[in-house]
Amino acid sequence: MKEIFLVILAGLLNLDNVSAFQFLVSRPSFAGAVIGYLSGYPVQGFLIGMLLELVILDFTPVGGVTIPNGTVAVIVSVLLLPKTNPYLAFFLGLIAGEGYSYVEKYLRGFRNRFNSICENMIERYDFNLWKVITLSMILDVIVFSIYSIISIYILSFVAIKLNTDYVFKVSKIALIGTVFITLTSLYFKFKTQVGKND
Amino acid sequence: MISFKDKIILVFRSFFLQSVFNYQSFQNIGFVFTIMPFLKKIFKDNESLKKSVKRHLEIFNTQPYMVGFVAGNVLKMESEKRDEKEIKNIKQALACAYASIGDRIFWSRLRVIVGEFTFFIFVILHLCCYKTGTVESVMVAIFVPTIFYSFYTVYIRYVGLDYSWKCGGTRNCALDSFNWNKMIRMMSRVSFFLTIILFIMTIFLYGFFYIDYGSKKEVLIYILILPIAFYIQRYFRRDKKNIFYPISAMILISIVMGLFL
Repeated sequence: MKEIFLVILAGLLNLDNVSAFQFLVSRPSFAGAVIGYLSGYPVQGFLIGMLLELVILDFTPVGGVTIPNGTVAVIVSVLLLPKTNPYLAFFLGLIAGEGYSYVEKYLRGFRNRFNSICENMIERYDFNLWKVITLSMILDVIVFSIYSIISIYILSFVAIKLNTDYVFKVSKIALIGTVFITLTSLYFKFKTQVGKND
Repeated sequence: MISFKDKIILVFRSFFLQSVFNYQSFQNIGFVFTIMPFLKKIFKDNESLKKSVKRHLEIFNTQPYMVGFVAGNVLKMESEKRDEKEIKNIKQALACAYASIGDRIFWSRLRVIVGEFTFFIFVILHLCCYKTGTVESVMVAIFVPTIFYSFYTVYIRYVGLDYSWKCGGTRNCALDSFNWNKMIRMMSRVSFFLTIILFIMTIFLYGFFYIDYGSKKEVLIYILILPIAFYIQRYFRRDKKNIFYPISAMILISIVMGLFL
């Protein structure tokens, strides 16, 4: 029950990603810390979120491009923490986050239907677009929650199967390497930008 | 005239610009939703309101924080009952221009700066100020940069609306309201500087927490990871591959390395 509550909370935070506000409360470090705090892993949640954020910062969400979803990644990672080590939880979360970018693409296509709904409303002189906005956001939260719950269920199974000493060592080395890969990526990205500006 | 109350309502509604983001017309519904209260003020009869709303339901896409710069201009032209085609053309031209500026400022730079500051604040509070508990450090680290960022984005939305209302009706309206190039240049330098510090800090923490402990084999592997990660990233970056490629390569290398531990 607590997991469902946390998933819905993450779904609400995820609205900040694209649908509303864009105050960056959906970024993985923020969502990870909040969800981690509520599930008893505040620091692990934050650190996993921070690293997921470094990975996702490599992508730029311009022109309708869908990027890996950090909120999905972090909720999956944090809720997998009781079942596996944080290193493996990070990678499993990342897989879930990347998977959601395809769901988001589908959702954006699905939302094309809202255009005809809107046109029909306006034809009837109904200018109250709150209904469409609210409906779309509810749809977002529902899809997010269902996807996250399914991902957690499947990946928990994977995590339990992979809970060996060898996988622990491998995922730890891979995670350390990922930290340096993301930092190197950021370094060269900004080095190029500064070079261009000069 | 646009009142303070109108501006607040418009800014609030602009938060939902991307709520119905779709591939057919992008932010069209969100844009209509944003300007609807003011359109109702301009067009008293339903027929002309319907005509105007339909006009704005066409394709629209800009950077969400910069929507104020477009909305103010459009509303000024609507209130002056300008030609339909002229409104459309200026709206599209401004949406593209501000999308490019906004993407470079917010998505490519400021978002990264916020992330880096979050990490700095956490590390500084956690390592330097012993009196501060870890959970408190996390909370301060996530809230402080987010609050600053949120205020700045709301400010940009508001001033955008303000400036563009004043110069409404021109193709280059409010484009000179800020020295965008200087801002972008400055943010690039700040991001670059912060990334270097973050890199140094991480290497220091890594050396402190990992390399000093464990068997000789482990220490060797932990030292080797650094140049390997650097090289992998460079290799895939040359081919313009996204970050998942070097991460996947790193996992494969870790599988091999794990055999030696």
